[in-house]
Amino acid sequence: MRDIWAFLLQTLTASGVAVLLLIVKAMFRDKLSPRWQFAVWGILGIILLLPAGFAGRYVLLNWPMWVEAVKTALTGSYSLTQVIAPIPLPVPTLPATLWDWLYLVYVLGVVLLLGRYLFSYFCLRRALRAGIPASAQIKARIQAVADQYHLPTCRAVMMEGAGSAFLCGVISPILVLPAGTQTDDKVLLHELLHLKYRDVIWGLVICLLRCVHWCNPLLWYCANQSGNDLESLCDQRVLERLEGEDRREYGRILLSMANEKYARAPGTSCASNGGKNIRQRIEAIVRFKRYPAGMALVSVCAAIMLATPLVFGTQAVNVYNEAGRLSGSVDIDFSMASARTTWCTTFVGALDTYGKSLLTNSGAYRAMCAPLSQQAEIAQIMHDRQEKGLWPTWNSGLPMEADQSTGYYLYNLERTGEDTYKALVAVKLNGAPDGHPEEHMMYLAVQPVQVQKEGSRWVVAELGEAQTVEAQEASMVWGVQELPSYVYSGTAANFRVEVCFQRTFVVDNTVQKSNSSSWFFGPSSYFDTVPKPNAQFDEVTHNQWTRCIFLGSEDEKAAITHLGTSIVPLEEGEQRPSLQSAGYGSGGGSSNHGEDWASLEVGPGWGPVVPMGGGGSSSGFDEDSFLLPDCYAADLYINGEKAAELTLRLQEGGAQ
Amino acid sequence: MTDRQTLYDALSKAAWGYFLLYFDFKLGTVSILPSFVGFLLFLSAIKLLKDERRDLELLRPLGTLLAVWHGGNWLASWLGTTLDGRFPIVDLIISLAGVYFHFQMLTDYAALAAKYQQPDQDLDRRLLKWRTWQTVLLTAMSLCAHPLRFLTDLWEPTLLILALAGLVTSLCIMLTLFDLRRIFREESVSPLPPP
Repeated sequence: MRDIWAFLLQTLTASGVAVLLLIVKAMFRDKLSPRWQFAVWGILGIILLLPAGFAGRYVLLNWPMWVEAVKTALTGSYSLTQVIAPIPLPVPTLPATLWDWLYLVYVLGVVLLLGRYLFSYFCLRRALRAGIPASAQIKARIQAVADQYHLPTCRAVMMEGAGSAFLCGVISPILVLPAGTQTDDKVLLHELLHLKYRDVIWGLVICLLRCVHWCNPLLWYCANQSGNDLESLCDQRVLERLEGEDRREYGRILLSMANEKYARAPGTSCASNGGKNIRQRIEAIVRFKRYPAGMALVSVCAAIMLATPLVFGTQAVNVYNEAGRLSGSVDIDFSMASARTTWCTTFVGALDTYGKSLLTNSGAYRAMCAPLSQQAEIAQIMHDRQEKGLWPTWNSGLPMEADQSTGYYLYNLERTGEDTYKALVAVKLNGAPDGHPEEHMMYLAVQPVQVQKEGSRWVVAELGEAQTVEAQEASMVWGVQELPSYVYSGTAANFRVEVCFQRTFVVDNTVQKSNSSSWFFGPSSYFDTVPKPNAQFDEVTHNQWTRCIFLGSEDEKAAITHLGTSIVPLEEGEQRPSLQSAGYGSGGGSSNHGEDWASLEVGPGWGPVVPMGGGGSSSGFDEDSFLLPDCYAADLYINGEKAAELTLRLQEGGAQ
Repeated sequence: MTDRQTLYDALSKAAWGYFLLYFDFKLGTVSILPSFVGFLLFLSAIKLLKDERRDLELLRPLGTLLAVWHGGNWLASWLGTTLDGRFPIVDLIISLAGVYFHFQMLTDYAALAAKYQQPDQDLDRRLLKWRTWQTVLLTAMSLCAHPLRFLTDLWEPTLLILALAGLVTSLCIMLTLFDLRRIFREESVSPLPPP
């Protein structure tokens, strides 16, 4: 924790868990044993030791979002609060803001409380050094109790003013007995059980957590409860070793301690822990025989069921995208806070979110996948629009609104580094930007983007402005010839043969919707514009089309009446296969292996570019989806005869 | 000691309670075998058996909580919605309450079986076995809903398999309870053993 917001996030997360544990413990107070009652505090211990909001997850309630919203409202900052460690860390700079000063006060509080505990512990140890070593008779009694119940022993001292027996120290524990009074064997048993199970360590851990969360009264209450549960657990261990009248006698001894004062000192455990606590322990003792037998399995299962959702937390996936519903800037800040804390956990999720931010112009969606350095800028755009009386959207830079029903498409995705990818995002526009659409044409906005990791979040950075592209009306999933593609080329017989290769990466965002007429017409479907921050690709389509470019003279051109090509992708060094014939005739075909063939009759005045058509195939996404064919083997047919066998090589410069 | 007819009635209610809990028929979104009625039957059985098994009384608050929650969910179904998943904290508390409720109730029924069954019967051991299976399955299902969900893509088929196993287990519990009920039929020839 390096600032007050990180502490707030950590302590609120733990508080939520503490409330749940208090409810569950109350529910099972008379049903599950003190062993279980103490063990479940371990869950709170784990939560306190795990950095809150780790990997974009929250526990029970979306505390990161609320903390971010409050922080932005109070400070105007759009940074992301992250808990690096569950303890306060020093900040090397001088406090500059109120919040820095508050953090300093918090850290000083931790240090002072820690100092106080250490001081009281060392005072106690010094007092113990002055204590009277236990007499041989008392040592013999302690040994007898230890032998009877197979327990370890430790050094014992008598101390004036000690209210009752207690154990002090972790490494070299000392059993402290009040001087001048005889300590009952059952109390000795209690303390020796503390020694056996090293309960003092738990007391120490609780003290340290008290220090870190010194200003959270709820966690202090839980610390008190856990300390009392530890004593109840020790009582249960004592009762498991005692029989009949001894059990009742033990209860009476505890009752006699109810009015004794006690001072909490770290590194100690004491049978007498205050009147109120002793009353609760006596109630637990009364219930001792009433705990239903054979509850070990359900106790473990209940603890597992309780622990797993709390320790693993919940990934935030639903962003608050309702900015503008309320007046004022709070709504926008809340939306931005929600977006910052809803992390894109996959690069596909970041691209999906970006695509949908283009489709919807949603600032919250853009903020989800935007680098932290852009957050303030996005918020400013939204605030400015709101001040002008407009709906507080983000300015995606598109020339006009996108067609949401078509969705977005990603072309030519490339891995450019360890955690860096590059792609072209395309959305279909709702018409021609100039207002004069042509028949059978569609208008696309395309933008190159880079997706990269920022900490644990995947973010998208624009690599250029969105450009408008006019293209033949067709399904965008099977490639768009007007968009950049990887070009393979080779020259022979006065022709340059080119294969354009393009890949489309698809996240399935289709939602089926049933309505009253579905029984007849079938369910309708629509494109889901809600981001999927954990998305994976569902499909990759591989598309290719061939064209021949004539390079010869007009006389040579006049002699050509018929053209044909046959191509197949090849790996470097792979044996050239015999390709499908594309001689006379008009038509073509393709195979699942990327093989394509076509032949056509060229009319008068053809060329110089002759499109030969193409085809495509689809597959699931895997690591190989990034690989491009090394080259293509091609056969060129002129006037029905094979004129050349070519090897088409990839042109440099990537997709063009 | 509880009389034979009361024991018979209590076990009938418990067995039918399980039937209502695990078997469902829906008209649109509304269940016609609502599970909250199952919990009301369990509560009624607990009341009838309170003198026989003291521990069962401890289940009354949890049973009431479960009945209220399932009743609320049933009412919500009339509005075409569900409470499941809307309040994750309450869902967690209800899951915990449910696991404990069934575990202890079946433990007590097993103790009842051990007391009243014929020497050649093993109804108590059968009940304890299915009780253990049910508890483990419910826990495994809760693990599927959280860590497994994020760690592997197999959580959905795993959840389906667990749900099927849970259905078989509940069927076995129901049948064993009906077997146990048969001991207390009026026309049963054997007298009840002394308390």
